[in-house]
Amino acid sequence: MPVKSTTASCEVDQSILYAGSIPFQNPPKATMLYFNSYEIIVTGGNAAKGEGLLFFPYLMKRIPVEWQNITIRKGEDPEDPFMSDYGCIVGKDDKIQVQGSNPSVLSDDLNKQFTALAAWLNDPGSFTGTFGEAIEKYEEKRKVIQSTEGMGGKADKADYQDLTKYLKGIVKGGSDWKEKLLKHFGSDANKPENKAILDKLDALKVALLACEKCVADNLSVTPPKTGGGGGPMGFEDWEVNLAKCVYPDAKGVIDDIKISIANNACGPESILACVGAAAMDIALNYAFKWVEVNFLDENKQNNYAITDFDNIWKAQDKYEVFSSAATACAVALVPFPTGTTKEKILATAVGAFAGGAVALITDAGDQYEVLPKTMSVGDKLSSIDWKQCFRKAGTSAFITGISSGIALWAIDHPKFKDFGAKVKSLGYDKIKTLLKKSELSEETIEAFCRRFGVKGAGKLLDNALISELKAAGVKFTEADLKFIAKNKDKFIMFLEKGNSNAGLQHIIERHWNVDELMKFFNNQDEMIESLFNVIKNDNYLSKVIDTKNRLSDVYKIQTTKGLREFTIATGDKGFVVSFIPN
Amino acid sequence: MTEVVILKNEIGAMYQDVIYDYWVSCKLTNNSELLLFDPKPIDVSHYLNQNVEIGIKALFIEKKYTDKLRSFYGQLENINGKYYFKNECLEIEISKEDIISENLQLNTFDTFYFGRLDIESIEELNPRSRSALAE
Repeated sequence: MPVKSTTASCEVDQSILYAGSIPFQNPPKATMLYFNSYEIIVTGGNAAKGEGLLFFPYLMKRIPVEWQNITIRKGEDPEDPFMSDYGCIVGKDDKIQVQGSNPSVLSDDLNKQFTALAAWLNDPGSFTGTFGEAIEKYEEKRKVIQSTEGMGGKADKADYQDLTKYLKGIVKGGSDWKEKLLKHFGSDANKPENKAILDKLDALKVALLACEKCVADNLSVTPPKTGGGGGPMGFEDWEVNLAKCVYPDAKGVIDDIKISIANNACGPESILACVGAAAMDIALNYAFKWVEVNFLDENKQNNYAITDFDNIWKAQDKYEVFSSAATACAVALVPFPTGTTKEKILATAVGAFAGGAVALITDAGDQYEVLPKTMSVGDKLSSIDWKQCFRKAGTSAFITGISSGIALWAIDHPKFKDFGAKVKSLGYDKIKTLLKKSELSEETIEAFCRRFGVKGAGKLLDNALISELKAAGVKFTEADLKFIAKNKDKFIMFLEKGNSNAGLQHIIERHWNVDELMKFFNNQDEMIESLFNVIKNDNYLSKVIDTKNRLSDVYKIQTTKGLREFTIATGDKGFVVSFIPN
Repeated sequence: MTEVVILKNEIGAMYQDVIYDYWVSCKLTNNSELLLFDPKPIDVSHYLNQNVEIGIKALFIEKKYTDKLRSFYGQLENINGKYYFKNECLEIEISKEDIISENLQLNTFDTFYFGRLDIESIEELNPRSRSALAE
């Protein structure tokens, strides 16, 4: 059975997100395992025999399952090095079965669902993902087919088979959605605006079923053994027909339906939910546009701060931004089968933005409320002063939003898939300079760099010690901190950029010479790290505090010339004034 | 000890108006100028323009030519268990470790390259020496 790629964390086909090669025989309890598009929480056992709870999206429930002799590999997601361990069930013949020999354990309905589930799991022709995933997959495959055909090539039969698979998923999901909408509309279902929405859904279903039949009919045509190519440009008639079968824009129709729902449903009581989701969506589009122009564009000159609203806003496709926001609004308001990337990323972003999200949404809501009621949702959203909203959210919120949401964002935006690698290749200093332009705190910058595994980040700056120093009332410039460490006497010592007389600048200007420090360290970073390490980890050889409160600690440090003695001169509050070899 | 005239005493590290070290310019008896580091600090400001005797210690010494390092011609001597570079106007204490690690020959004239030179001590010259320098 082929492993499908609907679970981003466990993709095995052409994805950079999965490099599973490490056996994972004994996943601890509560480990997540991914099987096709399903997520299983391990409740016991191991790969030889175990049990867990499988989330079955169509039921929105977890069902108990068990397995024997399956092959699990450790998931490896370079986009998210801090993610907890998870596993991918990758064996060709691996089977996951409902738990318990007694069928009464589960309700009949659940059993039926499970039978269907088992059929899906074992039928490569079925789509096992969610409605949202089906829409996204369909759109992706449609574009592949149409661009291939458009360039005079022939799409594979397998592409059409996949297309049909996703299409079935949309039809199934669309039916579920209609049921939810009917319940939601209740007695208002026949109101013209609601009926128009339901009619659009029905029309889409009819069109997709026709598409499915068209594809099936033409795929069943047996190609002639010889000759052929009698149609235009060497295509067989059935091949030409096949290309015509493809329904052009299912995603567009569904987005259009969502926007209609948003326009109908945005009453005063639901304004905040609608605008909140839209605001978060716009903020994310803005944040990732900033990422794109700074980190992913070929033009290396793009060096905008995240606060450089005008330039980033200028680079955005406004139509796309506001229609995306209106869709987010609709998703927040009406029952919709779960599973779209948009929903996931919005939920993630709200969590990551935290207080920033509240400030952003509140400001957007206040502005939205006073706009004329006759305006459409899209028009209202485009009339809001987003620069003001973003300012209220604060730049740190944007950075944490990017850090948390990048993996999800990359699902729909392939350009972002290599983001982690690109950030790493820029290097710590460049990123730090870039982020400092956005007036971000040292803490946020370090967190951002740590998140993407940028070497040199975070190690030298301990947030707890920074807080301790603040609490002690010590004056220092956090943005200029190079390291902070507690020595063996529990005394906090810190190196700041400083000036010509004290701190790193002084050390570099007066002592980074061939006849002094350059003799003992390969570069300044190595020197700073050595200084940090010795303070943190080693005992000093001697300590002198003179009458002027000058503190001098002598340490032995491993250098390019072997172990050498150095003096670290500090002020009485731990500020490193100078550092010299003895 | 080395006889010099102190020419300038420049502040090195300073934090919250407290001075941690100085850079001292001085003139040797052959009229060449030498920049020394005062790490303790001794603070030679009250010896400005005076003839004094100073103890100098080198951060390191090398035999191999190194661009931008100060070099002096002279010989290495062992005096009472301590090692010194000496020529007609300079005496610089060097470490035994450098003698060993650099495999330096004692009592043989050669050019040597030096790391930072630190003031270890300072003494006023006796009147006879002072008058001799002044001449």
